[in-house]
Amino acid sequence: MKIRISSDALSQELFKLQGVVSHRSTLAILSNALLEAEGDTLTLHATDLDISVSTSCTCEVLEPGKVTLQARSLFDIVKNLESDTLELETEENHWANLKSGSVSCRIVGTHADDFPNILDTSSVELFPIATERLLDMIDKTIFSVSTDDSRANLTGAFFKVTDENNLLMVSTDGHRLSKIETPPEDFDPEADIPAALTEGIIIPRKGLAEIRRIVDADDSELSFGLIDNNVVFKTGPMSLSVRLIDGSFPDFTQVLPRESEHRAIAEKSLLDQSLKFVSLFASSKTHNVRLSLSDEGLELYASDPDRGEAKKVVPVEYEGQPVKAGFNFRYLKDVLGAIEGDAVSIEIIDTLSPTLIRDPDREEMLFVVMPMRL
Amino acid sequence: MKNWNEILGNKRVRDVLARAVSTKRLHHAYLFTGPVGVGKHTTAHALAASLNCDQRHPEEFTPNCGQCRTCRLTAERQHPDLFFVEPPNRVITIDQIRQLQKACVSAPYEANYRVVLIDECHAMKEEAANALLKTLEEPPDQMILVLITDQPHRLLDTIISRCQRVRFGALDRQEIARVLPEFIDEPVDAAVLEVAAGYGEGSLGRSVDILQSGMLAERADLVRKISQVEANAPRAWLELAEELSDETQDFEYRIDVLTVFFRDMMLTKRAEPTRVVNSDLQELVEEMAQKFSVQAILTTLDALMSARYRLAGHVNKQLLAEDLVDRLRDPDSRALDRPS
Repeated sequence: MKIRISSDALSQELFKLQGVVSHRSTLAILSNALLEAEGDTLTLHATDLDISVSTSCTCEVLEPGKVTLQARSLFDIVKNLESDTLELETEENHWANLKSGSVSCRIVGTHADDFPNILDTSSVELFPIATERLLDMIDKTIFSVSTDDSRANLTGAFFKVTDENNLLMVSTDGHRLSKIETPPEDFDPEADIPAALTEGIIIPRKGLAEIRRIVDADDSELSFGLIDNNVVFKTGPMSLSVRLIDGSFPDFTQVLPRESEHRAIAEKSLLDQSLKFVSLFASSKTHNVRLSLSDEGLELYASDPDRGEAKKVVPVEYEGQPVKAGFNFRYLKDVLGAIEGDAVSIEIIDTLSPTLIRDPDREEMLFVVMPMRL
Repeated sequence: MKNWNEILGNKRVRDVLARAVSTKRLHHAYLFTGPVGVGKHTTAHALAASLNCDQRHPEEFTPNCGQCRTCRLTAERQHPDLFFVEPPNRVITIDQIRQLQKACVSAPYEANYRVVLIDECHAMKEEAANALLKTLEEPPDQMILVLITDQPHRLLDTIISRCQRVRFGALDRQEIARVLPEFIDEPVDAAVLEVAAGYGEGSLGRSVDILQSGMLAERADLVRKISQVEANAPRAWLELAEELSDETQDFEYRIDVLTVFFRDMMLTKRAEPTRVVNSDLQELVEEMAQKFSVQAILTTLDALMSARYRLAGHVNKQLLAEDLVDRLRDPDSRALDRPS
């Protein structure tokens, strides 16, 4: 294989692979990227067996071929080149010779056959989805995805097309839950939607994070499809496939609290700031902060026998009975971080029932946080 | 890794496994037990290759071709659906088992089966073993676990009961002698190969070890030295003790060599000499057998066995060697105070 390529273009594409190449896997080949030169394109693949990224860019192919090279070191080399043209040529033993300006180096490579099979995504039926919408859905749910491997079905976000033809994404770790249900923008709900999508799929956390990292919010076109238990996202020349988590997502509708008649509406930035302050006094073991709602406002209170106690009252509009409940302040902070509006509505039913937090301007999403026993 | 058909001995075991594949009754978890170095790991590794080989017959068991990409990657341990668990320092930790479980939640990446080999599975700590129970009980589809051990008594009953046990036996002495040259760098005399095979007691691994240790070559010297220790020359036997124990590993081999040699002397004295292991040194064996009484040989063997046992228990090797030589220097007179 021999190619001539712009080092800027190559380093841009290599960047997209960096998230999935692993550094400490027992399979050495997984830290490599597969490079395929054919026609006038260079196609790059990387996989960690759960997530695979393929991308391509144009280049001058002097001799077609394939090789696998250490993705990390290749990226480090290419991004530090001064000259913009790079010539890459492989040797008999699969080492690669790199020449650019006054630089020349050789790096170790292996036979392309050693690379795990690449999922062929060319035949996938794709549905367009608004990039911004998808990224927003991920932002609103990724923080509450469970990290506990013993319950594998919670270590991803549940994604489905609902009966009303809305897109739904839900995540939970057993202590909190995030849900967003939004009408598809570019998505034709009349299209023939695969059954798996209407039943729902579980996309692992790392896959979500990788989409978030690689997909540029300004990228106009993003589409997705399903193939062999993988969800594939495509934008431009790049495709990212994520192996779905087997298993069923728990029926979360049962834990959603009924809507309370009395909502407390608070200013978000003030609440966020107050929470930060009061949480300084929260016990480092339980992270407990108590929220009490009454006519006088929302009182935040935290105490730690080793340090002291603090109290702060945030003005809120609230008309119901006085109620209070204790929460892990980190969960509240995560939720406040995900809300973009200026106001936040809190519905505490009683000390033990799940509490509902929402953005009053965006009713399509909601966050549930379980209280701690006070 | 060897190809399935090239594996030495234990044909019955391989037939059982092959039949299980052909009749689609492959168990999800196997426990391979048997002495060290008889091909348990090799068989498991070749089984993994055979199950996933690109050339395999869809309906019945086919030995791995050894040529295709899958066979090659499996042999190089680089196949994405092959998972090895081995004790890094004598123990398999719960983290290793968790990693295994994490890697195995989904279906195989590209192969027919995902194969997990847990070598020296007796090295699993109790919590690691308990963590594995869940996987053994409800393994994901298309996953085969092979647990390998030479010390099954150290496993939890709950592990053993969840696996199908496959027992490996000792290998044939002639067969070992035949394949030994493949495992050593320098060519060795056929007679010595025969001897090494005998020393291995049916374990190819042990035969290779003893051959590579070079102890076989210095066997005759060693035996002469031991037999010539004078009862009343403390300086001489202290020096001998020091020489014996200079490296722990070599000390172990020396004891093994001596043990087998004294066994041969015993055989020559009392039984048929055809079963003598040190066949190339027949004359020396006979000569020595003349010098020692049966009682003295027994005492010596006892001393050697107990030294071997204590060495494994990390007893100070110099003291051990001195004690050993002390017992050897006049075995006749000590025949009565044999250690219990």
